[in-house]
Amino acid sequence: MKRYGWLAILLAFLMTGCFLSKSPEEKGKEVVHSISRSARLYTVQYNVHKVLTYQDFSSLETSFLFEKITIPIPGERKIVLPMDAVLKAYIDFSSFSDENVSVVGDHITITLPAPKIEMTSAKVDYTGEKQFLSWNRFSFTEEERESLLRKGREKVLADMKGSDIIERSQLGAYNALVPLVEAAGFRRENIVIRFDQELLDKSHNEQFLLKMIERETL
Amino acid sequence: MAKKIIIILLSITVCVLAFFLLWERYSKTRNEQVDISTEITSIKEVAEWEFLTIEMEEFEDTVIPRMIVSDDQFARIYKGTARLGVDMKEAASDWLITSQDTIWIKLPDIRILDEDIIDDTQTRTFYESGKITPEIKSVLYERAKVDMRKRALSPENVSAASENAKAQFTYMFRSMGFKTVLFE
Repeated sequence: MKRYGWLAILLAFLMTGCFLSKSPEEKGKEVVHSISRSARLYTVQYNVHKVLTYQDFSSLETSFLFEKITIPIPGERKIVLPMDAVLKAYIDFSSFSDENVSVVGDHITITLPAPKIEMTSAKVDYTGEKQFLSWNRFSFTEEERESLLRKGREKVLADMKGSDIIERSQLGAYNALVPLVEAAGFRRENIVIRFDQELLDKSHNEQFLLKMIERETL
Repeated sequence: MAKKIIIILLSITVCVLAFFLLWERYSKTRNEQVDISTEITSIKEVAEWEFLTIEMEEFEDTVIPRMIVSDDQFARIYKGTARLGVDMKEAASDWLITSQDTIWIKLPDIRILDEDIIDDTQTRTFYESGKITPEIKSVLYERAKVDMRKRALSPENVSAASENAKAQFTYMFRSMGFKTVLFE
């Protein structure tokens, strides 16, 4: 009888858990960090797909007679995480002034600042995620996934150094501005749009492009 | 005899558990990242002017009730940037009309320039308990996106972007020699 009494208490405890369990609760709380006025002309958009991969191996480390001993543990774990991102190149007009425009008779010359690159959005395909775990390894935590994604973001931006985004951005700026200047009464053959000489000199320099991307990601 | 077997089995269980606990404590991991290059899926020329940038964070959580064990709970913080501006591809063919030193401008409506505004690589998990499926993560992402877009498109923000658009275009056309810049 005493045994059944304990069983009854245990069941009552579990039932309490059931009755106290909440109904699906969903709420959102938003924080606006900053609102700033800007003047940017986005000229080209790159949609990219990246498959992030990671694997690690485990080993026990100890020391014996002041000698460091490493014992590798068999087994591994791997993760594959696909993501899509949108990158855009833009011309920043916030520092645009009269000095950037030169009108001589019916000729107009516009000097634009160097294009910059920005990742405007990224979306992780969680349903496409794959994990490969040995029997003796733990699955990946959310923290580990997030760390992998942050590294992936850097990789995507670094990979853009091999693309023609700067050239396309210059062409896009030309295509966007010429009709505007034409509508303002200038003939197409009298319109010159040029870019910062520094950019033209260094646009193919990988170090310069990387520096520019890094500055954007900070 | 049966007692002995139980003791042996219990000892083995304790040893296995201790091994797993100590392993995580003393083991070192060696990472190896297999890099797969970024694939460019599409390139599109755009002509979008951004006039207001709104950086925001969105907290989303969900509770999934369980019958016997404790509820599954999951909370994430999403980071996104809404860029308000105009897409010149939506402009009418006669969006600029000039007459001597006066110019009339008809700008397209202010809107959020990007379909997706969340940078999921910056998402942080605030709380996690229980089994969280990829579907739950996708639902929270979509919900955060809707909430952020709604907040970004407030009348105050649209008005601020519109005013800034007018100021920027006025400045640009004045530097091209127009004395009067009017907006429709």
